[in-house]
Amino acid sequence: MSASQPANAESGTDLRPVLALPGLILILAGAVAGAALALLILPLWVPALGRSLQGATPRGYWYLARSSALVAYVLVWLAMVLGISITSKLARVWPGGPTAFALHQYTSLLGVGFALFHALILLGDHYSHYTIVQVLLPFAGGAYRPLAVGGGQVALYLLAGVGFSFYLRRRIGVRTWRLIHFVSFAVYGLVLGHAVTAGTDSDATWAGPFYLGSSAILLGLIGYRILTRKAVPPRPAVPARPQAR
Amino acid sequence: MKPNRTAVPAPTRRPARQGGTTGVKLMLTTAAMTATLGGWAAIAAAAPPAVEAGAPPPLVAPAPAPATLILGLLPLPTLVPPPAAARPGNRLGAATPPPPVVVAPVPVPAPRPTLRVVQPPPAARPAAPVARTRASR
Repeated sequence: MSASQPANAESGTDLRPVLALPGLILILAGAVAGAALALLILPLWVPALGRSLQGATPRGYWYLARSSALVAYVLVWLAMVLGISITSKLARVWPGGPTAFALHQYTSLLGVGFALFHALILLGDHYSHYTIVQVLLPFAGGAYRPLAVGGGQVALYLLAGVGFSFYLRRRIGVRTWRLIHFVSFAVYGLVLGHAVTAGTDSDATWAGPFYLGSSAILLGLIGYRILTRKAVPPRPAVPARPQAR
Repeated sequence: MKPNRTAVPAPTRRPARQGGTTGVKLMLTTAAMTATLGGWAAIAAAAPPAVEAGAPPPLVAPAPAPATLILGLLPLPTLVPPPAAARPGNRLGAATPPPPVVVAPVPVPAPRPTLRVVQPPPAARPAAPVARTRASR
Protein backbone atom coordinates (compact mmCIF):
# COMPACT_ATOMS: atom_id res chain seq x y z
CA MET A 1 0.00 0.00 0.00
CA SER A 2 1.41 3.30 -0.97
CA ALA A 3 1.70 6.16 1.41
CA SER A 4 -0.87 8.21 -0.48
CA GLN A 5 -3.76 5.80 0.09
CA PRO A 6 -4.19 6.38 3.84
CA ALA A 7 -4.15 10.08 3.17
CA ASN A 8 -6.90 9.65 0.57
CA ALA A 9 -8.88 7.45 2.91
CA GLU A 10 -8.61 9.96 5.70
CA SER A 11 -9.69 12.75 3.44
CA GLY A 12 -12.64 10.69 2.23
CA THR A 13 -11.86 10.88 -1.46
CA ASP A 14 -11.07 7.15 -1.85
CA LEU A 15 -13.75 5.64 0.38
CA ARG A 16 -16.06 3.10 -1.16
CA PRO A 17 -19.19 1.61 0.39
CA VAL A 18 -18.63 -1.82 1.89
CA LEU A 19 -21.78 -3.16 0.27
CA ALA A 20 -23.20 -2.36 -3.13
CA LEU A 21 -26.57 -0.66 -3.13
CA PRO A 22 -28.56 -3.61 -4.62
CA GLY A 23 -27.09 -5.97 -2.06
CA LEU A 24 -27.88 -3.55 0.75
CA ILE A 25 -31.48 -3.20 -0.45
CA LEU A 26 -31.79 -7.00 -0.67
CA ILE A 27 -30.51 -7.50 2.87
CA LEU A 28 -32.76 -4.77 4.27
CA ALA A 29 -35.78 -6.20 2.46
CA GLY A 30 -34.92 -9.65 3.79
CA ALA A 31 -34.64 -8.29 7.31
CA VAL A 32 -38.03 -6.55 7.06
CA ALA A 33 -39.66 -9.66 5.58
CA GLY A 34 -38.09 -11.84 8.27
CA ALA A 35 -39.31 -9.55 11.03
CA ALA A 36 -42.83 -9.52 9.59
CA LEU A 37 -42.77 -13.29 9.27
CA ALA A 38 -41.57 -13.61 12.85
CA LEU A 39 -44.41 -11.38 14.05
CA LEU A 40 -46.88 -13.65 12.30
CA ILE A 41 -45.34 -17.00 13.14
CA LEU A 42 -43.94 -16.59 16.63
CA PRO A 43 -47.30 -16.26 18.42
CA LEU A 44 -48.27 -19.57 16.80
CA TRP A 45 -45.01 -21.32 17.56
CA VAL A 46 -44.13 -20.12 21.04
CA PRO A 47 -46.92 -21.93 22.97
CA ALA A 48 -46.05 -25.29 21.42
CA LEU A 49 -42.33 -24.71 21.97
CA GLY A 50 -42.95 -23.74 25.56
CA ARG A 51 -45.10 -26.80 26.23
CA SER A 52 -42.41 -29.09 24.84
CA LEU A 53 -39.87 -27.69 27.32
CA GLN A 54 -42.07 -28.16 30.38
CA GLY A 55 -42.32 -31.16 32.64
CA ALA A 56 -39.82 -33.45 34.28
CA THR A 57 -38.79 -34.99 30.95
CA PRO A 58 -39.05 -32.25 28.36
CA ARG A 59 -39.48 -33.52 24.84
CA GLY A 60 -38.11 -30.40 23.19
CA TYR A 61 -34.67 -31.90 22.71
CA TRP A 62 -36.14 -34.90 20.94
CA TYR A 63 -38.29 -32.72 18.69
CA LEU A 64 -35.33 -30.50 17.91
CA ALA A 65 -33.23 -33.55 17.03
CA ARG A 66 -35.90 -34.71 14.60
CA SER A 67 -36.36 -31.37 12.89
CA SER A 68 -32.62 -30.69 12.61
CA ALA A 69 -32.15 -34.16 11.14
CA LEU A 70 -34.58 -33.37 8.34
CA VAL A 71 -32.85 -30.07 7.66
CA ALA A 72 -29.47 -31.81 7.60
CA TYR A 73 -30.83 -34.33 5.11
CA VAL A 74 -32.07 -31.53 2.85
CA LEU A 75 -28.70 -29.78 3.04
CA VAL A 76 -26.79 -32.97 2.19
CA TRP A 77 -29.17 -33.59 -0.69
CA LEU A 78 -28.72 -30.02 -1.91
CA ALA A 79 -24.95 -30.36 -1.74
CA MET A 80 -25.16 -33.54 -3.79
CA VAL A 81 -27.45 -31.93 -6.37
CA LEU A 82 -25.15 -28.93 -6.71
CA GLY A 83 -22.06 -31.11 -6.96
CA ILE A 84 -23.48 -33.30 -9.71
CA SER A 85 -24.82 -30.27 -11.55
CA ILE A 86 -21.28 -28.86 -11.51
CA THR A 87 -19.68 -31.97 -12.94
CA SER A 88 -22.44 -32.46 -15.50
CA LYS A 89 -22.12 -28.81 -16.64
CA LEU A 90 -25.77 -28.20 -15.77
CA ALA A 91 -24.69 -25.54 -13.32
CA ARG A 92 -23.45 -23.42 -16.22
CA VAL A 93 -27.06 -22.95 -17.25
CA TRP A 94 -28.10 -21.96 -13.74
CA PRO A 95 -26.86 -20.64 -11.32
CA GLY A 96 -23.39 -20.48 -12.86
CA GLY A 97 -20.26 -22.48 -12.19
CA PRO A 98 -18.59 -20.38 -9.48
CA THR A 99 -21.86 -19.75 -7.68
CA ALA A 100 -22.77 -23.43 -7.74
CA PHE A 101 -19.31 -24.39 -6.46
CA ALA A 102 -19.48 -21.91 -3.60
CA LEU A 103 -22.97 -23.05 -2.65
CA HIS A 104 -21.99 -26.71 -2.99
CA GLN A 105 -19.15 -26.23 -0.55
CA TYR A 106 -21.26 -24.15 1.82
CA THR A 107 -24.25 -26.48 1.90
CA SER A 108 -22.08 -29.49 2.61
CA LEU A 109 -20.42 -27.74 5.55
CA LEU A 110 -23.78 -26.46 6.76
CA GLY A 111 -25.06 -30.03 6.52
CA VAL A 112 -22.16 -31.17 8.71
CA GLY A 113 -23.11 -28.52 11.24
CA PHE A 114 -26.77 -29.48 11.34
CA ALA A 115 -25.97 -33.19 11.47
CA LEU A 116 -23.63 -32.59 14.40
CA PHE A 117 -26.33 -30.54 16.10
CA HIS A 118 -28.82 -33.36 15.46
CA ALA A 119 -26.50 -35.79 17.20
CA LEU A 120 -25.45 -33.61 20.12
CA ILE A 121 -28.93 -32.35 20.98
CA LEU A 122 -29.87 -35.93 21.83
CA LEU A 123 -27.72 -35.62 24.93
CA GLY A 124 -30.41 -33.41 26.43
CA ASP A 125 -33.16 -35.96 25.90
CA HIS A 126 -33.71 -37.83 29.14
CA TYR A 127 -35.80 -40.53 27.50
CA SER A 128 -33.17 -41.92 25.11
CA HIS A 129 -30.35 -41.67 27.69
CA TYR A 130 -27.53 -41.24 25.19
CA THR A 131 -24.08 -40.58 26.54
CA ILE A 132 -21.43 -38.56 24.76
CA VAL A 133 -19.53 -41.74 23.91
CA GLN A 134 -22.63 -43.35 22.44
CA VAL A 135 -23.31 -40.25 20.38
CA LEU A 136 -19.81 -39.77 19.02
CA LEU A 137 -18.61 -43.36 18.68
CA PRO A 138 -20.30 -45.34 15.89
CA PHE A 139 -22.05 -48.54 16.95
CA ALA A 140 -21.14 -47.82 20.56
CA GLY A 141 -24.43 -48.97 21.93
CA GLY A 142 -27.77 -47.50 22.60
CA ALA A 143 -30.98 -49.42 22.74
CA TYR A 144 -32.67 -47.72 19.81
CA ARG A 145 -31.89 -49.48 16.50
CA PRO A 146 -28.09 -49.57 16.91
CA LEU A 147 -27.35 -50.54 13.32
CA ALA A 148 -29.38 -47.73 11.79
CA VAL A 149 -28.03 -45.20 14.27
CA GLY A 150 -24.47 -46.41 13.68
CA GLY A 151 -24.90 -45.92 9.95
CA GLY A 152 -25.87 -42.32 10.57
CA GLN A 153 -22.83 -41.81 12.78
CA VAL A 154 -20.50 -43.18 10.10
CA ALA A 155 -22.21 -40.92 7.56
CA LEU A 156 -21.55 -37.90 9.75
CA TYR A 157 -17.82 -38.58 9.91
CA LEU A 158 -17.58 -39.30 6.19
CA LEU A 159 -19.55 -36.16 5.41
CA ALA A 160 -17.22 -34.12 7.59
CA GLY A 161 -14.22 -35.63 5.81
CA VAL A 162 -15.61 -34.81 2.38
CA GLY A 163 -16.72 -31.34 3.46
CA PHE A 164 -13.43 -30.32 5.00
CA SER A 165 -11.43 -31.75 2.12
CA PHE A 166 -12.16 -28.47 0.33
CA TYR A 167 -9.54 -26.89 2.57
CA LEU A 168 -6.96 -29.54 1.78
CA ARG A 169 -7.38 -29.57 -1.98
CA ARG A 170 -4.09 -27.84 -2.71
CA ARG A 171 -2.19 -30.12 -0.38
CA ILE A 172 -3.67 -33.43 -1.41
CA GLY A 173 -4.08 -32.60 -5.09
CA VAL A 174 -7.14 -32.45 -7.26
CA ARG A 175 -7.04 -36.16 -8.12
CA THR A 176 -7.12 -37.30 -4.50
CA TRP A 177 -9.70 -34.66 -3.72
CA ARG A 178 -11.95 -36.03 -6.44
CA LEU A 179 -11.46 -39.56 -5.23
CA ILE A 180 -12.51 -38.45 -1.75
CA HIS A 181 -15.56 -36.86 -3.32
CA PHE A 182 -16.75 -40.24 -4.55
CA VAL A 183 -17.34 -41.10 -0.89
CA SER A 184 -20.20 -38.61 -0.92
CA PHE A 185 -22.39 -41.12 -2.79
CA ALA A 186 -21.93 -43.57 0.07
CA VAL A 187 -22.61 -40.73 2.49
CA TYR A 188 -25.94 -40.00 0.86
CA GLY A 189 -26.88 -43.69 0.89
CA LEU A 190 -26.02 -43.98 4.57
CA VAL A 191 -27.90 -40.78 5.40
CA LEU A 192 -30.97 -41.98 3.50
CA GLY A 193 -30.84 -45.39 5.16
CA HIS A 194 -30.42 -43.80 8.57
CA ALA A 195 -33.34 -41.46 7.94
CA VAL A 196 -35.70 -44.18 6.72
CA THR A 197 -34.83 -46.90 9.20
CA ALA A 198 -34.14 -44.86 12.32
CA GLY A 199 -36.28 -41.79 11.73
CA THR A 200 -39.37 -41.45 13.87
CA ASP A 201 -41.11 -39.51 11.13
CA SER A 202 -40.47 -42.06 8.39
CA ASP A 203 -43.93 -43.53 9.02
CA ALA A 204 -45.61 -40.20 8.31
CA THR A 205 -47.61 -39.78 5.14
CA TRP A 206 -45.30 -37.13 3.74
CA ALA A 207 -42.10 -39.06 4.46
CA GLY A 208 -42.41 -41.59 1.66
CA PRO A 209 -42.92 -39.09 -1.16
CA PHE A 210 -40.28 -36.81 0.39
CA TYR A 211 -37.52 -39.42 0.46
CA LEU A 212 -38.58 -41.04 -2.79
CA GLY A 213 -38.83 -37.74 -4.66
CA SER A 214 -35.50 -36.39 -3.45
CA SER A 215 -33.73 -39.66 -4.24
CA ALA A 216 -35.35 -39.83 -7.67
CA ILE A 217 -34.15 -36.32 -8.53
CA LEU A 218 -30.64 -37.23 -7.45
CA LEU A 219 -30.66 -40.49 -9.36
CA GLY A 220 -31.88 -38.65 -12.46
CA LEU A 221 -29.01 -36.19 -12.19
CA ILE A 222 -26.51 -39.01 -11.72
CA GLY A 223 -27.91 -40.75 -14.78
CA TYR A 224 -27.62 -37.56 -16.79
CA ARG A 225 -24.05 -37.16 -15.60
CA ILE A 226 -23.14 -40.69 -16.67
CA LEU A 227 -24.82 -40.29 -20.05
CA THR A 228 -23.15 -36.97 -20.80
CA ARG A 229 -19.79 -38.32 -19.70
CA LYS A 230 -20.02 -41.13 -22.22
CA ALA A 231 -21.08 -38.76 -24.97
CA VAL A 232 -18.00 -36.53 -24.59
CA PRO A 233 -15.21 -37.66 -26.94
CA PRO A 234 -11.87 -38.29 -25.32
CA ARG A 235 -9.44 -35.43 -25.34
CA PRO A 236 -6.53 -35.65 -27.74
CA ALA A 237 -3.22 -36.22 -26.12
CA VAL A 238 -1.38 -32.99 -25.48
CA PRO A 239 2.19 -33.14 -26.64
CA ALA A 240 4.68 -32.58 -23.89
CA ARG A 241 6.19 -29.15 -23.88
CA PRO A 242 9.90 -28.88 -24.22
CA GLN A 243 11.30 -27.89 -20.92
CA ALA A 244 12.58 -24.35 -20.80
CA ARG A 245 16.14 -24.00 -19.92
CA MET B 1 18.60 8.96 -8.45
CA LYS B 2 17.70 5.34 -8.98
CA PRO B 3 14.11 4.32 -8.43
CA ASN B 4 13.48 2.01 -5.54
CA ARG B 5 12.76 -1.40 -7.16
CA THR B 6 11.45 -2.93 -3.98
CA ALA B 7 8.59 -0.45 -3.85
CA VAL B 8 7.02 -1.90 -7.02
CA PRO B 9 4.21 -4.24 -5.95
CA ALA B 10 4.45 -7.78 -7.23
CA PRO B 11 1.63 -8.92 -9.50
CA THR B 12 -0.89 -10.67 -7.32
CA ARG B 13 -3.08 -13.48 -8.41
CA ARG B 14 -6.73 -12.61 -8.57
CA PRO B 15 -8.83 -14.59 -6.13
CA ALA B 16 -11.27 -17.06 -7.58
CA ARG B 17 -14.63 -15.52 -8.28
CA GLN B 18 -17.22 -16.76 -5.84
CA GLY B 19 -20.21 -15.45 -7.72
CA GLY B 20 -21.37 -13.09 -4.99
CA THR B 21 -23.04 -15.78 -2.93
CA THR B 22 -22.90 -14.10 0.47
CA GLY B 23 -26.55 -13.16 0.38
CA VAL B 24 -27.59 -16.61 -0.79
CA LYS B 25 -25.53 -18.23 1.95
CA LEU B 26 -27.12 -15.94 4.50
CA MET B 27 -30.57 -16.83 3.24
CA LEU B 28 -29.72 -20.54 3.23
CA THR B 29 -28.55 -20.42 6.82
CA THR B 30 -31.59 -18.44 7.92
CA ALA B 31 -33.92 -20.78 6.08
CA ALA B 32 -32.27 -23.84 7.63
CA MET B 33 -32.53 -22.42 11.15
CA THR B 34 -36.12 -21.30 10.58
CA ALA B 35 -37.02 -24.73 9.25
CA THR B 36 -35.48 -26.37 12.30
CA LEU B 37 -37.45 -24.15 14.67
CA GLY B 38 -40.60 -24.54 12.61
CA GLY B 39 -40.21 -28.31 12.54
CA TRP B 40 -39.77 -28.32 16.30
CA ALA B 41 -42.93 -26.26 16.73
CA ALA B 42 -44.87 -28.40 14.27
CA ILE B 43 -43.87 -31.65 15.96
CA ALA B 44 -44.67 -30.20 19.37
CA ALA B 45 -48.05 -28.97 18.20
CA ALA B 46 -48.93 -32.33 16.68
CA ALA B 47 -47.76 -34.38 19.66
CA PRO B 48 -50.25 -35.42 22.35
CA PRO B 49 -49.90 -33.70 25.72
CA ALA B 50 -47.33 -35.23 28.00
CA VAL B 51 -48.58 -37.42 30.84
CA GLU B 52 -46.65 -36.65 33.99
CA ALA B 53 -46.02 -39.15 36.77
CA GLY B 54 -49.01 -39.47 39.06
CA ALA B 55 -51.39 -37.95 36.60
CA PRO B 56 -54.45 -39.98 35.60
CA PRO B 57 -54.17 -41.79 32.30
CA PRO B 58 -55.82 -40.25 29.28
CA LEU B 59 -59.47 -41.06 28.87
CA VAL B 60 -59.12 -41.97 25.24
CA ALA B 61 -59.17 -45.74 24.91
CA PRO B 62 -56.62 -47.29 22.55
CA ALA B 63 -57.90 -48.33 19.19
CA PRO B 64 -58.54 -52.07 19.02
CA ALA B 65 -56.28 -54.02 16.75
CA PRO B 66 -58.04 -55.52 13.76
CA ALA B 67 -58.85 -59.15 14.40
CA THR B 68 -57.18 -61.27 11.77
CA LEU B 69 -56.14 -64.84 11.36
CA ILE B 70 -52.60 -65.87 12.22
CA LEU B 71 -51.50 -65.74 8.63
CA GLY B 72 -53.09 -62.38 8.23
CA LEU B 73 -54.78 -63.41 5.05
CA LEU B 74 -58.43 -63.34 5.95
CA PRO B 75 -60.04 -60.89 8.31
CA LEU B 76 -62.14 -62.32 11.05
CA PRO B 77 -65.65 -60.96 11.45
CA THR B 78 -65.70 -58.11 13.87
CA LEU B 79 -67.19 -59.01 17.22
CA VAL B 80 -69.83 -56.45 18.09
CA PRO B 81 -71.15 -56.66 21.65
CA PRO B 82 -74.90 -56.64 22.02
CA PRO B 83 -76.19 -53.18 22.77
CA ALA B 84 -78.17 -54.38 25.77
CA ALA B 85 -74.97 -55.47 27.55
CA ALA B 86 -73.71 -51.90 27.60
CA ARG B 87 -76.70 -50.63 29.44
CA PRO B 88 -76.11 -49.73 33.08
CA GLY B 89 -78.79 -52.00 34.43
CA ASN B 90 -77.61 -55.08 32.60
CA ARG B 91 -73.89 -55.22 33.57
CA LEU B 92 -74.25 -58.16 35.91
CA GLY B 93 -76.90 -59.98 33.96
CA ALA B 94 -76.61 -62.75 31.49
CA ALA B 95 -74.46 -62.43 28.44
CA THR B 96 -77.44 -62.84 26.21
CA PRO B 97 -79.70 -59.88 25.84
CA PRO B 98 -83.23 -60.18 27.20
CA PRO B 99 -85.84 -61.30 24.74
CA PRO B 100 -87.68 -58.48 23.11
CA VAL B 101 -91.07 -57.67 24.50
CA VAL B 102 -93.75 -58.54 21.97
CA VAL B 103 -96.59 -56.09 22.10
CA ALA B 104 -99.92 -57.45 20.99
CA PRO B 105 -101.72 -55.30 18.46
CA VAL B 106 -104.45 -53.21 20.02
CA PRO B 107 -107.80 -53.58 18.22
CA VAL B 108 -108.81 -50.36 16.62
CA PRO B 109 -112.55 -49.61 16.96
CA ALA B 110 -114.47 -49.10 13.81
CA PRO B 111 -115.22 -45.51 12.94
CA ARG B 112 -118.63 -44.41 14.06
CA PRO B 113 -120.98 -42.77 11.62
CA THR B 114 -120.80 -39.01 11.90
CA LEU B 115 -123.92 -37.01 12.59
CA ARG B 116 -124.57 -34.03 10.43
CA VAL B 117 -125.77 -31.15 12.55
CA VAL B 118 -127.58 -28.44 10.68
CA GLN B 119 -126.89 -25.13 12.32
CA PRO B 120 -129.19 -22.17 11.92
CA PRO B 121 -127.83 -19.20 9.98
CA PRO B 122 -126.21 -16.58 12.21
CA ALA B 123 -128.37 -13.64 13.11
CA ALA B 124 -127.47 -10.30 11.67
CA ARG B 125 -125.49 -8.35 14.18
CA PRO B 126 -126.10 -4.65 14.66
CA ALA B 127 -123.60 -2.33 13.05
CA ALA B 128 -120.92 -0.92 15.31
CA PRO B 129 -121.26 2.74 16.23
CA VAL B 130 -118.70 4.52 14.13
CA ALA B 131 -118.74 7.76 16.03
CA ARG B 132 -117.89 5.99 19.27
CA THR B 133 -114.83 4.21 17.92
CA ARG B 134 -113.47 7.38 16.41
CA ALA B 135 -113.97 9.22 19.65
CA SER B 136 -112.20 6.56 21.63
CA ARG B 137 -108.94 7.09 19.74
